[in-house]
Amino acid sequence: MKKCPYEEKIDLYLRRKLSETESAQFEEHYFNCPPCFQKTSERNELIEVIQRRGAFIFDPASSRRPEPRISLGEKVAAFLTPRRWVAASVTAALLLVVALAVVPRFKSHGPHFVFTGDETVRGESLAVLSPRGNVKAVPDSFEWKALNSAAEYQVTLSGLETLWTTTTQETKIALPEDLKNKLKAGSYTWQVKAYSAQGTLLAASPKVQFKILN
Amino acid sequence: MRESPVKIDLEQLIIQYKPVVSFKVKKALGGGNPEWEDIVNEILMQAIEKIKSGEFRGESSVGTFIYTITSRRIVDYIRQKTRVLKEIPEVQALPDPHDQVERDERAEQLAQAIRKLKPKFRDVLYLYYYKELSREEVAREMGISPARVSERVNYAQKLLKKMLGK
Repeated sequence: MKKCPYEEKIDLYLRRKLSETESAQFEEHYFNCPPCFQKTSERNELIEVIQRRGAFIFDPASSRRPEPRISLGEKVAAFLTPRRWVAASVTAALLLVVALAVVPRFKSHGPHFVFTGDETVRGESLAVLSPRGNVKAVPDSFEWKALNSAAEYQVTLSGLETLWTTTTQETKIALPEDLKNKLKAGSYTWQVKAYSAQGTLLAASPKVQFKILN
Repeated sequence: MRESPVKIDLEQLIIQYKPVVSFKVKKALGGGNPEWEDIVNEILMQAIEKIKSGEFRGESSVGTFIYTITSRRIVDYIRQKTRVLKEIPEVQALPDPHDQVERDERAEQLAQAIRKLKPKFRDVLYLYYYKELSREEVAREMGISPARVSERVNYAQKLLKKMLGK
């Protein structure tokens, strides 16, 4: 439906923004144009209510005005002005420094395990290389694979009883000459245990049997 | 009495023009004026008499004819009132309480409906009709074009009509 050109003047007329002549022309028009009269009458009612009850209608305290929908990101962006960004960054950095300085002092120690015998820390393993199985002569040395976290190894040679125990930071150790001379043909076992720098047992190899044949 | 040269359904005329004349009279005299209804009736009676007597010959539209009678009657009333007021202080009669209750009820419904509008519509009504800013000022305030201000006002009005079930 084509819009009546006088519709543009409804607000101007009701807000008394038209001259006397224009106002009279507009009035004569709505006496002849039922749609324009209808719209003018409705708009007039709206304006009157707003002007009389505006304090109530637009009172933010009593209004049920819905809060604008703002996402969390927008809320944070609105809250963090450049000055607040700087303050937040400085605070975060200070907290981090304090945390790094203070927290280790209160750090609780992990449970201390005391290992006995062949118990090893789960996941660690210590493999011996030689001697093992049958050997033709008294071995010159004992050798095993390195354990990354180990600071020291303890080697034990046993026959019917413990014959020799020693420690080393290497992964190979020579058998002392005097002991070498004492060893005769027969079966022996040896074992190596790995210790941390604090003296904690990290791993123990299986007791490996070797047999000197002559 | 001359016979009217134009055939007009007088009953229809009253139905159609009573609200228009009432609107104009109330606008000119103020809705609180207790005499407005009498003046409206006088205007309509005068129009009917002139049509019946043939004084209205259809040279203008019926709307313009009734508008002319209305305007003259309002001017007469204001002149007469000014003269009377110089002699006797006016005693304001109270408006009809029944009408007043009905008007208040409708105004309350409309006010509640405005409060339920989305902010973009409510804000435009607030700035344009309550703060009485010009259309251009409202446009600047809201960061929209003046044409958009009119569109929002018109759309808000449609929404309100819908909300009130008109």
